[in-house]
Amino acid sequence: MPNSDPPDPLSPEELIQKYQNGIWRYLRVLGCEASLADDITQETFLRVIRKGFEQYNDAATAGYLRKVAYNLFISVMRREGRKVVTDDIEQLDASWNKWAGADNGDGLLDMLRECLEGLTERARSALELRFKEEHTRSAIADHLQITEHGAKNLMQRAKKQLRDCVEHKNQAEFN
Amino acid sequence: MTNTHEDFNDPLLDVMLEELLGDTAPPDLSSEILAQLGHQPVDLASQINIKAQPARRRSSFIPSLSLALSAAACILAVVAIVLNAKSTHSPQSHEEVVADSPTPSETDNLAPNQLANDQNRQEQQSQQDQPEQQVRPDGSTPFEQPQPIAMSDDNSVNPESITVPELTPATNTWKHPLAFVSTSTITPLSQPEVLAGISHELNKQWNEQGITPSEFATNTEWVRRIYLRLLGRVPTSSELMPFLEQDVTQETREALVNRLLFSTQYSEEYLQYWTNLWTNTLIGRHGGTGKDKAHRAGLAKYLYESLQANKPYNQIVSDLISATGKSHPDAEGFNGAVNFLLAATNEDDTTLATSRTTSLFLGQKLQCAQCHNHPSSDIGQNQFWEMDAYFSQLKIVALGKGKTPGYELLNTDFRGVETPNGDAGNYFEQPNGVARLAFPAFLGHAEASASGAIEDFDRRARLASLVSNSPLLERTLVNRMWSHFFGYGFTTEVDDMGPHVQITHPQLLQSLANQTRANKYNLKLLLKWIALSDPFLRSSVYSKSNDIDSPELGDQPLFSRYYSRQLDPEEVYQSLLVLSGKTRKANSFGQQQLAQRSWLGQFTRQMETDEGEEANTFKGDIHQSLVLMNGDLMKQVTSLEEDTVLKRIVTSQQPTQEKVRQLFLASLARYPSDEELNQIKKLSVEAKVAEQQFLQDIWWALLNSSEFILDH
Repeated sequence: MPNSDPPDPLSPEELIQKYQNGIWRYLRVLGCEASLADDITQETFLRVIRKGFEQYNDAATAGYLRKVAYNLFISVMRREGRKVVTDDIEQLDASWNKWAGADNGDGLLDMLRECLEGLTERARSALELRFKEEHTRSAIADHLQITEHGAKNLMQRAKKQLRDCVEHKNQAEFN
Repeated sequence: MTNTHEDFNDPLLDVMLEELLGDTAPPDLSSEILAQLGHQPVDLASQINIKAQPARRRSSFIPSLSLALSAAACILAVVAIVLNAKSTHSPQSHEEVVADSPTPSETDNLAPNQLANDQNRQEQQSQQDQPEQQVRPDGSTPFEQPQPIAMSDDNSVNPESITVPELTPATNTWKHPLAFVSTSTITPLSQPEVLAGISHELNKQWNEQGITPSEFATNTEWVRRIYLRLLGRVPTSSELMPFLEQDVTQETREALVNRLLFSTQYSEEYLQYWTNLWTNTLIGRHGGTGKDKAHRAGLAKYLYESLQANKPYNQIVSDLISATGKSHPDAEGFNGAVNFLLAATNEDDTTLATSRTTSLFLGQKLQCAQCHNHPSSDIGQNQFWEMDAYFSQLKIVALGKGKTPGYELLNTDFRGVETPNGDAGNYFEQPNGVARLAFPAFLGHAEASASGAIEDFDRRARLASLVSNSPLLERTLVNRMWSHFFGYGFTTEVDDMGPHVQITHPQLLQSLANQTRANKYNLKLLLKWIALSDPFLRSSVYSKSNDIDSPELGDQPLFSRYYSRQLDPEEVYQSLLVLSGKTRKANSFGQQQLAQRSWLGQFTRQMETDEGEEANTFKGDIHQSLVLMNGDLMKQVTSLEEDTVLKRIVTSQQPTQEKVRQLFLASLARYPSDEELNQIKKLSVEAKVAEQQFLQDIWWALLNSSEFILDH
């Protein structure tokens, strides 16, 4: 049983400040474009604040906000006749809870930033070309003067290394 | 979109990398959101009736004071240990250490219930668990405002058996705020008021969500539904006929519901269906069939007679918890109610009885707390064992291999671990290996005394009284019945309504629960309200205006349409039986139950879990299809030799087309569309078989269609 008191209810301003990054990122993970994530994040807070809800504890509040955001996201997808990209919401939620549930993803971001430093120059370049420059795989291959298959492997290995690194850091923090 | 790129299959990592490497950090939306709120300060705390508490801050002198107090406490603890070296623990501490004993102060630290904090939490919890106060905007609804919950002296169910003084609040445990009865009288409302209240509450949410409910269902759709929900079978053609032509009004509908619930014509069917349903609910489909000590027919007999007498639900629950007597219907001293606990007790292990009692009747799934503190609420492990302690006087005696074998359920004095003041407790082991003593406490509300002697304190009678008077009882009943009609209750799981669970329509639930209590737990009345309610009249067809109402996809149900679902295997069985021309007769209940169970055995199996759960394979798989298509029951229904519905239609003096129409009506409660008729005409030409065989094939196809096994 938790030993801490339930938190004091937050004001709307505090609520938005505390949880908006997490909701926005969660929506992005679901597959939202950035602009749609902006809209749904806004709508999520408007709904819950107008309706009122019980701030039982941090985890419950974050979970409730995510659920509202998820429902809004699904509604938008249906209205637009679009398929939902993520079909296993439970798995995604579990992953979110593990890595980003406690701090809206800020900790994960910090760990990832440190882990990026450990990548080879080439691997980091490949990821930057993909995520910063938004290059296609073939453009990345051309840029690095490797085959497409090689570019694919390079990025997969880089991401695996990042995952392992984050896992390791997380374990170390836990211990 | 990262997810669409085949290389990047880890959405979380991708999003974080986009944020780190790209330029897609989350924006600060505060000002936009606040602007849209109209710059009006919104006090969340006041909206939800939670008093904002001042933050607990340490002032500069607190550390030293704290240290001083800690030192004083240590000294006092040492003195206390020396002075009480031979003493046992008081029942107030409810805690005992048997191995690797830490000091008492350490033990206290290990206790899951931390007390000052809990008191604050409880105040909040108490307010949080009365969501009606936050949800209800005004008093315009016909329902009454929920009454504040307080402890009651109303032990009307078994007043003579209560020997324990009033409960005193425990100081060191979580307490369920809704565990006790309201002392305020709830005024019974008229049926129209109740129905208007249901509509009002649902309308409110539909408006909030910006959806329009589905159109009303057709007359025959509603009639098919009501037969399925109240009698567990589809209606026959003759039962549908009156609703095909005439204008159906609320009065007509009420007349039909009254006939199904109260007339002698349907009395037997009603009793058999609901007896079976409640038996399944209480002990599962396999309970009392050999793997446990219960006698299934014995429990069914008790339930049948109770339903026949329209016994109040709280009285039934009280009987089931407090019953003593023999399990076999032929034994002298038979009491069928004992079979509920016999099915859930193994030697002196009553944990299944505890978890079933708390979940079935109170909607509190405490079994998660059997081995550790509840993972998602404040319920501590001790709460489970304190509830279990109410069953500690229970004793089971095997009656041998006589003419009426079976078991007898008795009460005996419980010795357990006795404290100096005569209380008797039992140990349970905490995850950290420390054993702790548990005494009876009702959802965290401790008893003033916990004697193990029957004459001082009949624990089961006490529990029966507490459960049957608890407001949680009617809330759980309403949730279960609502779920029976709609396929979804007000919570994700019907039996899990704990403080950690979100209730979709708190005000509606509470209002119906209040009316259930006010009407003395009249089961038929509750069925009638739901059967005549607005959402039950709605079509299962949804449109763009309410397509977000999709609980099938994990969304919260809004009840703006009827949710199509597959019939239970029992309902398919009974529907096929009635179409085979057989009716349920009073003197053949036992035989029919055996035949039905034998058929159901093909689809259900028992899982070897602590909760005695069952798996149901009646989910439209190949096995189900094969049994339905080729089984003996299907052969009976499609037979032209016995007096089946098919035979009556086939041998009637009507044109073939009319016979086809009648087959549709009898199986699907509707006539065929023009397109369907045209297709059937084409088939009849191609088939080149006699009319009888052709109609038999059509009939077989209709009964094996997905529409037949859907409640829609």
